[in-house]
Amino acid sequence: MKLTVKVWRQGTPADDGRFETRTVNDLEPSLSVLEMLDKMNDDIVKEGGDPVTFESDCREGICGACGILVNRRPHGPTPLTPACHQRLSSFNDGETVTIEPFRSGAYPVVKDLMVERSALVDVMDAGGHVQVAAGTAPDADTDRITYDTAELALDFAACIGCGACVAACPNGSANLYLGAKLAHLSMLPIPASERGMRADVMLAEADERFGPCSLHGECALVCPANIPLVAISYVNKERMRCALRGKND
Amino acid sequence: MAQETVKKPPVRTLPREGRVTGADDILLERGRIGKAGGRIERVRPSNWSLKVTAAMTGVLLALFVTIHMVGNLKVYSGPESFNAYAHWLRVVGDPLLPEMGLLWIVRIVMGTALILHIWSTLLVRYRGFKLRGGGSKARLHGGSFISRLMLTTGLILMVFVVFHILDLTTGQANSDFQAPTATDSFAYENLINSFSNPLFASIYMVSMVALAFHLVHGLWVLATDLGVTALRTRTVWKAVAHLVALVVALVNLSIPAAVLMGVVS
Amino acid sequence: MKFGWKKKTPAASPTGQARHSAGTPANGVGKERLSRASRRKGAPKVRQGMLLDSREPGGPADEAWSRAKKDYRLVGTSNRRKFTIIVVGTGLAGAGSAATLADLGYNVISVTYHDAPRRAHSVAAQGGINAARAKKVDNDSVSRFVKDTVKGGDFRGREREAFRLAEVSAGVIDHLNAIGVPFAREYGGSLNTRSFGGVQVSRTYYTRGQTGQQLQVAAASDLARQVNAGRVKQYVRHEMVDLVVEDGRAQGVIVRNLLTGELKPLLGHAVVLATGGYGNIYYRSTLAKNSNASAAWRAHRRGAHMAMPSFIQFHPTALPISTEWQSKTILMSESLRNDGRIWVPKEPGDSRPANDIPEGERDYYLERKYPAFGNLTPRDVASRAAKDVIDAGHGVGPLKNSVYLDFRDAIARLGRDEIAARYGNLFHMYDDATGEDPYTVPMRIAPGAHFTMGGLWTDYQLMTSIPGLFAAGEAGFGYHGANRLGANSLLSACVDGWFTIPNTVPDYLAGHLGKPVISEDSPAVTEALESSYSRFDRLLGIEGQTPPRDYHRRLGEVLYKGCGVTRSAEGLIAAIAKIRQIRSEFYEDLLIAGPVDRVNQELEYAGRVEDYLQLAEMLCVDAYDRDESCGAHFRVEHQTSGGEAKRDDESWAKISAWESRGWSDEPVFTRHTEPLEYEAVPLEVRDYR
Ligand SMILES: Cc1cc2nc3c(=O)[nH]c(=O)nc-3n(C[C@H](O)[C@H](O)[C@H](O)COP(=O)(O)OP(=O)(O)OC[C@H]3O[C@@H](n4cnc5c(N)ncnc54)[C@H](O)[C@@H]3O)c2cc1C
Ligand code: HEM
Ligand code: HEM
Ligand code: SF4
Ligand code: F3S
Ligand code: FES
Repeated sequence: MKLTVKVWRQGTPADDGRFETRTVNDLEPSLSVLEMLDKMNDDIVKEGGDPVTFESDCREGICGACGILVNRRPHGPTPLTPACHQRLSSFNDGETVTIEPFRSGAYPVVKDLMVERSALVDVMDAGGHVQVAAGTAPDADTDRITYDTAELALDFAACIGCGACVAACPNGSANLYLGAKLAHLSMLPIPASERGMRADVMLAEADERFGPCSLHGECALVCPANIPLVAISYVNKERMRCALRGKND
Repeated sequence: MAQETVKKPPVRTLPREGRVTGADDILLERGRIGKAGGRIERVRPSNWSLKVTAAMTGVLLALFVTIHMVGNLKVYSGPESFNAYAHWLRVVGDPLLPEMGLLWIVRIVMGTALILHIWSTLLVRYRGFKLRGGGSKARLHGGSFISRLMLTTGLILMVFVVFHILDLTTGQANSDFQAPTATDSFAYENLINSFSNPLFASIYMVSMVALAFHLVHGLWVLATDLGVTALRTRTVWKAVAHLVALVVALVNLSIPAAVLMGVVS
Repeated sequence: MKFGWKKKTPAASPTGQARHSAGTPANGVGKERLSRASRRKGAPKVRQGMLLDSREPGGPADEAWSRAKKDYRLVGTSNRRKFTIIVVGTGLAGAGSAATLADLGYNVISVTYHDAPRRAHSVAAQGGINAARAKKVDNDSVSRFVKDTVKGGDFRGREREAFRLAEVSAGVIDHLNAIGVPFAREYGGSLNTRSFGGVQVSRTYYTRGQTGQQLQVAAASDLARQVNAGRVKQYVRHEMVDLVVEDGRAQGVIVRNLLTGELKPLLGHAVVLATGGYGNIYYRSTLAKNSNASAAWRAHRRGAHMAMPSFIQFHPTALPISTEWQSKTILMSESLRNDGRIWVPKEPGDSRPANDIPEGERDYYLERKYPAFGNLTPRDVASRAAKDVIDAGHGVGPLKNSVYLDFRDAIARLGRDEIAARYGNLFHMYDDATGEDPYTVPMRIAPGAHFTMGGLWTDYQLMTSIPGLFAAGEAGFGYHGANRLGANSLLSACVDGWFTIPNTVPDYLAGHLGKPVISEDSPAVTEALESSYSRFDRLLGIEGQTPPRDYHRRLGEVLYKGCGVTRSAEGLIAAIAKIRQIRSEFYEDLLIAGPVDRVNQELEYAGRVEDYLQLAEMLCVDAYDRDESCGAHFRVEHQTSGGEAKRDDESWAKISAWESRGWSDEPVFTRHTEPLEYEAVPLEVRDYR
């Protein structure tokens, strides 16, 4: 099959950027959008041009490195699926597809489709961790964590850190990502021992970088890890809990 | 063909001193572009406190419109009953409180709530607008249809409240307005006067549609802002939110409609 | 300098009694060894090197680690901040060591080429992590773990290291649990386990099919805590391109800032490489696209020996390549083989759709060849059998390179719902990855390069042959011998990261108290920096017509064919010739597109492919040189009548550690050896039947 691709080109963060239109031939519906970009880059390179920069790594939906807007939708047309698993079969032969970098106030464009998502890392650096020195942990079997709690914690822990939620959000909010981490760690006994402090600093860091949430609910429609919308509730729950108790735990 | 298009640029070498236009050098040294992590500069008031303010004031406002709606139902039991109710509002609390004492307390509380509500929600939307990033985003359909209308419906409500007070409380907007006296209220007559004017009636009706939308999402987002995570509570609350919003708006809407159709006069 | 590590530097630990006297030249050192095999025309020439000392503690094997720790020297708490340690890689091994060393009080510089530490390839592991916690009454124990690991590795790994792995494993699970890994639990609240191939007990801890992800995110958060505390200086989007060796010790690395293109030195008292495996050398593998061999290979070029680089595990249930532009072979869980039946058409080249091929014309070759085990034969056997039928022209799929894994009978027997309950998420993943529905058409699978048992040679302290250079995780070669047991590699990366490195690096550092970090203008730094600049400038100056991917793709084909699931002397000789051919074309016609003063993924790729093209030759030389079959290294010349790998313990119960020289021309390879001894697990023939 063949696609016309309108792809965003931007040399440096300071550039304005523009769309470039190319045709990519000899595609298979089973290829992913990223593989289509690989092929397009091969064409560009062989013509002596500058290939389109985009990020990806595992190509199996777990590392969170990939992320582009396909027809203005984070990752692509198939809901809850990362870009590396978005198949060309979603498009018709000959269709025009627009490909852009993730858009958000927190994501400056580095080059072409590659954006800087370090704001997500900074939020984790601030408080998304647990203060336990290696070797000092108690026996993991002595903490009885019920089956359901462990499963629920895992539902939230599944976030792959792709940042698509922010790109989808009309407010540029990272509350789905933030809430997923706060929820996950609040459910496990040892990590929960600093949940108040964690909520405080993570939110403070996030406030600097991301917008607030108005519950538009779009984040949960694109999240490749299928983080449920209720994750958002944990943001204020954990923060209010901290404010009301005035304690670190 | 391919050979021809390959333009051989002058021999390239790696830059000895790297620089990226539009990026902070100190961060670039560590491989990053954009804002530093580092020390947290707290944004004040924080987003969560704004949201909690919006939610708390939203609760008050929603309670007010619900109770007000119940009072408005008295329209259907005739002028005496409605006027008596309006009068009662002014004297309730007597003799403990001076005349209109409780009314003023409510006015002050609700006025503050409304101001806080408007302030917090507008600030929330402004911050979101600033950080959403360039480019237009596709509209997905995550219930965001109503949520995106919050600002519009909110502004309609703001204008409505001002208009409504000028119309039925202070009377500047209502040419035949009869101010209440120490012993009597003419709320019923004022209301019929106002709603008999199709323009006024339709302003009310449009506003009530806005109110329905605003409440549907407003009451739902409340649960999230107040940190309700239990799935069953959330499901029940969502249903309640829709129900309350519809009932309040429909009952209110029925009054101008009834006046227009002559059912109440 | 080459053998500097053997000179008893003040840093050398007095640990234990060396079981082999250090630096004894083996017979005929420096001479080309002309074995029967290497008399062939075009055969690689291999020089005999030294006998290496693993510096394992003496005494009973099962107490080795506690004895070693007892003897390690310490650095006092107030002196620790005077040391800077560079940790390259933020996978489980890298993040674990960086975080723990920082927590102990050392200055740590952490480097990764990813934009965030959490993206390291450990994130992709699915199955689980082993631990010899031995809580259940299935009679698991540390010694049983060691036995399984040593046997699983076909007796080509160190027994004492396996003991360390087993001993520390319980602590690894406890730590991970404490820092937020939501391990699967029983209803009663205790940890749940599953059972993995090659063992008879249930000791694999897991979190659904995303164990690696949960471990990696926890590891990255452990690192984040130290970054936040200012004890770790985190460099992201920086790729290590060279090692700085001064005074015979590793004292820094040269990194390239991937955003600006420039190179710069990062200097410290010790360097830890936790840079993962190099399975991507096969072009298509189950690894992430950016995983590469560069850090390890550049360290090798500076004098670190490579141990048994040809020991590579091929996974039988990887997704096959269906089109030229498909980028990788995604891994599917082995558990699918419990209910799926593997077959190919009897007629070679049969191109009918699978469901149109009648029962009588299908060859269920595993069931036919191995009636006892059928579809559940061990990984390496299944991979080899698949390769056999594919090579014989029975392969299916558009490129005729895969075999069917068919659930038709299982669905008929158990019903679609039951199959969905058992494998629903895997089927979904398959559908995601291929766009085909495995409920109605059979899955297609093929062997894919998966895990590299080989890597930088290290002693028991994880120190390479360059003093001060440590290797941890998959970048090293430890623990797994010639074949890695499922779920043991996450464990080894964690053990190295959180527990081994934090004990052994201080032992090394204790001997260097008071020494400053070398200065940026010291000759070694300038030399390394300049040689890296000129290396890249040379690549940029080629200005040919062929992008790096094309060379990589060709290299992958050569390796899969010549040094893949099975190897033969002729095949390897032919492969070496082809690799050299590709290499010379690479230096003549390489095209690096795009500007150099900003992100340039073509340039990144070109550097990696250059390294692959060199390492690939060493891979083949090692595979050729090791004239036996063991574990995943299957030389067709050496097999039992049942088609099993036939070891030659007489000559090959030893580790080969390679040194190479003369890359600008024709490289010369020297094999150093380290004999292997087994006390607790006596040598025996691996047999799972
Ligand atoms: C698909 C798949 C499934 C697996 N499943 C399992 C399983 O179920 N159980 C199990 O035990 N094992 C499994 N493994 C194996 C296991 O995941 C790996 O062996 C292990 O995670 C390796 O960890 P590591 O820390 O050594 O390296 P990695 O996690 O690969 O980390 C390498 C790090 O080094 C950095 N790096 C590399 N080169 C450079 C450079 N030149 N400059 C700067 N930084 C560099 C990278 O950025 C990265 O941070 C699986 C492997 C694969 C591929
Ligand atoms: C009396 C009438 C009003 C009622 C009952 C009401 C109720 C609510 C409620 C309950 C919420 C949810 C608060 C939260 O938790 O975020 C809300 C949100 C909002 N309200 Fe109102 N409101 C009223 C008037 C207004 C007015 C006059 C405005 C004018 C600006 C307004 C603007 C908004 C906006 C923009 C939001 C969304 C906040 C967000 O983005 O989360 N509202 N309202
Ligand atoms: C169609 C529906 C409505 C009717 C028929 C109605 C009727 C009235 C009447 C008759 C009064 C005057 C009472 C008096 O002065 O004695 C009044 C006051 C008021 N109403 Fe409404 N109302 C309606 C909807 C609303 C809504 C939706 C709001 C809020 C958003 C609202 C807010 C107010 C306020 C703030 C006052 C002034 C109270 C005071 O300070 O005295 N009303 N309303
Ligand atoms: S919450 Fe979902 S969309 Fe957001 S970063 Fe995590 S995985 Fe991506
Ligand atoms: S789309 Fe945005 S507004 Fe909230 S619910 Fe999701 S973060
Ligand atoms: S490339 Fe890893 S999630 Fe898409």
